[in-house]
Amino acid sequence: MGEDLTLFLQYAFNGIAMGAVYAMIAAGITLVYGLSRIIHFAVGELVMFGAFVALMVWEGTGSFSLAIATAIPVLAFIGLITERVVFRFTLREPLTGFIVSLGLILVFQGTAVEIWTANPKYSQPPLQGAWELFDITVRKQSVLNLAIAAVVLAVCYYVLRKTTAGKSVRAVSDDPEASALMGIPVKKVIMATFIVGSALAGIAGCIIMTIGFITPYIGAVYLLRGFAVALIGGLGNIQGAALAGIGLGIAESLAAGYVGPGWTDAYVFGTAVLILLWRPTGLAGGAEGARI
Amino acid sequence: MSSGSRSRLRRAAPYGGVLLLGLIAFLLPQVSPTSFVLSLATTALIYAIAAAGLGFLWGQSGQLSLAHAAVFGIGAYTAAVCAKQLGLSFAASLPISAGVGLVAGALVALPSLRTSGHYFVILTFAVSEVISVVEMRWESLTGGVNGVTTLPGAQTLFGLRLAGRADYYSIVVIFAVVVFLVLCLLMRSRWGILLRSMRENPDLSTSLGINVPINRVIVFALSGAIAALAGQLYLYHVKSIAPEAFMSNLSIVFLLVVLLGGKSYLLGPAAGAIIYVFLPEYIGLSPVRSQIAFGVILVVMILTAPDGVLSLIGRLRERLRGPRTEAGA
Amino acid sequence: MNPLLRTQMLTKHFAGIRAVGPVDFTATSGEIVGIIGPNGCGKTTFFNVVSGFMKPTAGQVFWEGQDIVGVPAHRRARLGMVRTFQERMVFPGTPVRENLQTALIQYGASDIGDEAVTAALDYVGLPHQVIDQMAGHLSWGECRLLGMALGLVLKPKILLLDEPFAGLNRVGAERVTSTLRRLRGDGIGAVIVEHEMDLLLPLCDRVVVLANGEVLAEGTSQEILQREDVRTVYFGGDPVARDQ
Repeated sequence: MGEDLTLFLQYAFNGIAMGAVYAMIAAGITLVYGLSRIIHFAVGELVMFGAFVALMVWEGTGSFSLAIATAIPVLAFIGLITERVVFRFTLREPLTGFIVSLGLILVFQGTAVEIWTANPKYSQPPLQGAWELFDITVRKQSVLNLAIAAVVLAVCYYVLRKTTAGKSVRAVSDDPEASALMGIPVKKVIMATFIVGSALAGIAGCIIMTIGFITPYIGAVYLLRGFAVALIGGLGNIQGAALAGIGLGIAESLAAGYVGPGWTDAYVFGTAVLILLWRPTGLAGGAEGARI
Repeated sequence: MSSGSRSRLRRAAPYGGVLLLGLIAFLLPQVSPTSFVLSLATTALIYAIAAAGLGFLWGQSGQLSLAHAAVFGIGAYTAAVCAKQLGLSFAASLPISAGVGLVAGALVALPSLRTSGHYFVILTFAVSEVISVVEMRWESLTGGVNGVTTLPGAQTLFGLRLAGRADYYSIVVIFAVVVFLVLCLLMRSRWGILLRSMRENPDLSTSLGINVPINRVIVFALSGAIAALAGQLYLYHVKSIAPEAFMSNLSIVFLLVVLLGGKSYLLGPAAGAIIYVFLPEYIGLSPVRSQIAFGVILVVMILTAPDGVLSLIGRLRERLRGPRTEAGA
Repeated sequence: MNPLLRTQMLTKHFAGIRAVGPVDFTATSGEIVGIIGPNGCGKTTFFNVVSGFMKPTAGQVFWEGQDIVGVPAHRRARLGMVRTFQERMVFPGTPVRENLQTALIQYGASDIGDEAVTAALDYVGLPHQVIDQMAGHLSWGECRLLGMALGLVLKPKILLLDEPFAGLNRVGAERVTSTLRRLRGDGIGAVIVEHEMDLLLPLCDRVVVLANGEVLAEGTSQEILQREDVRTVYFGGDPVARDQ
């Protein structure tokens, strides 16, 4: 196999592994937006919290499964608390909810610095080693991460499409008033999306912890990628988010590989802005009227 | 006759108020000359100017931008480049940084021609991140992560020394007064009326013949110019800047400052900036803890007093004056 | 004589489904034309396309003989075609004074003082004391009148009114009617989209009936009332027509 092709496939694989994480964050964003119309900007900080919680448990116990099993309920709990204490009062004014989430960014970031300090933290990935497949280095951890993301997204998709609970969620997203008349507990469903959305960010954090350094300030990076994916995929569209997530991951990895890592963000976000100017409701045909 | 002169007086009152507050601020160095207090007051005024730009944008035209800090940063960097690479004086670089801010503000607004609402706010955030990356990576111009340092040397402006703590404070007071007077004029102008109509109901504005997108771009450009002006003032205040100072957190802070004071009040951003800068110092909070505290304050304010502390004063006055009809508060 | 406003085969599709058209329609100044039809027949969509708030899928809109399909909505207003809205009729968060000042500025008035504002209030029969009230605090009927006043301040050649009687009680409807009766004398044409036939028909010089996006009938009020097919559409148990 040609060296160029190998390199390309290597970048593409790295991109897919990363893109699956973005898709997960975007799925959470889309779920929360689809039902509450709130742009939840503190989602990057939820990812960061998930990463720190997972890191603590992983370093303390040496069990990555336990780390994930801890991060999910902790983040779900944060989702529950934020919804009960603040977001539920903002459902009539989504802009207020958005500004609330900006305040939460400051709170979460500051709290993380108080607990874990601002110093970058790094841990060895739980799964060491790699396979060589056609000259491509496939790190075992990347495969595990990809598998986790794929399972999580598949479960989300299955629940939304095939279960009664999922049908209520879609009904509320389509028409909250009619859903209420049909006896669907709209407020509980919205609360549940905050819980699930936060938990998704938490799982994404667990994966990010295995990839590189984490600091209390990494939130903005994942916030923007999550939203870029959610918007390009079409707000409210989970399949779109999955595709756009992989797309962004690959684009980013190729840009970093061929252009150089420094300018990746400018390149990727610049492209995202242009795509959104061209097709404001996203490539996958999502719409303001959300479809989940 | 008397009603005419009274209404004329009422119309002049805000300008008089700005001038009076400016005069009081101008006299501060005579009363409390410690350089610590003056330095804080300078910072507060610079934040007030920057936030006034955002407050005008948000309060009058109803547009929210998360790129305001990035444009503020562009102003600071432009001033630094003017000083270091072009050897320009403070006064000569001022129109350049304001002009660059004007263009940057207009560029931030361009997506509003295609999108609005949620999409647009997120796009302003994306644009602000792109700007941060450029600041970080265009090392020949910005010094990269290490940032740049600019020393004013022996320059003077209005006969005041840029390098002197009290003198520089006075210079900033003059700029603040000018900016607030200009904004007051605009708020009360015909254009101000059109902007508020766009804020309230853009479709109806359009049906009355207002070119809504163009006016949005113009008001963004104006707020960008003000942010960049504040950015240059900031550079000459702190002397050395680095990209992390202008990250999106600062945009949230500007938003908080506007919201704290009250976005529909001319002097709201000034009140908000004073609270934001002085309060943590006086209760002795660490920067991290004050960040947490202000995050909480932002959440509580938007939920309970979205019109800011100035509106609370109004409410309090009403309660004191009005008949006690409520049984207990 | 050339009509002021003319549409030719005007059509609008949403996601491939036809909402309006093809519609051929004319209106001119000094004339009141009613467009009636059951809810969901595409009346408001027709307005949106004519006033430039939506792009047509096919067909043309002519103004004084010129094709204006490419002209943006705000420029159409300056040509003399002003529309009102069914729901969001005013600028709710500013005082009535400022609402009308916006329109006065757009008209190019040199004086936007209280006298000019009260003159506009008088035209639609709103009391002077509302001038300091927030427009959002007005009653529904007062909002409706203020919304009409905003359009009329611009002295349009044709005013497009989107359901001016919706949600009004009898008193409110009478006030709207008496304002509309003044238009003809002032040389202002009106195109009125309306669901309430009883209130509309006596006002109109000409009536167009839309059903399923197409012109079903056209003629004077009497002619329309005698048409059997119009009665079927209106009273014949079409479930869409009973909405609202």
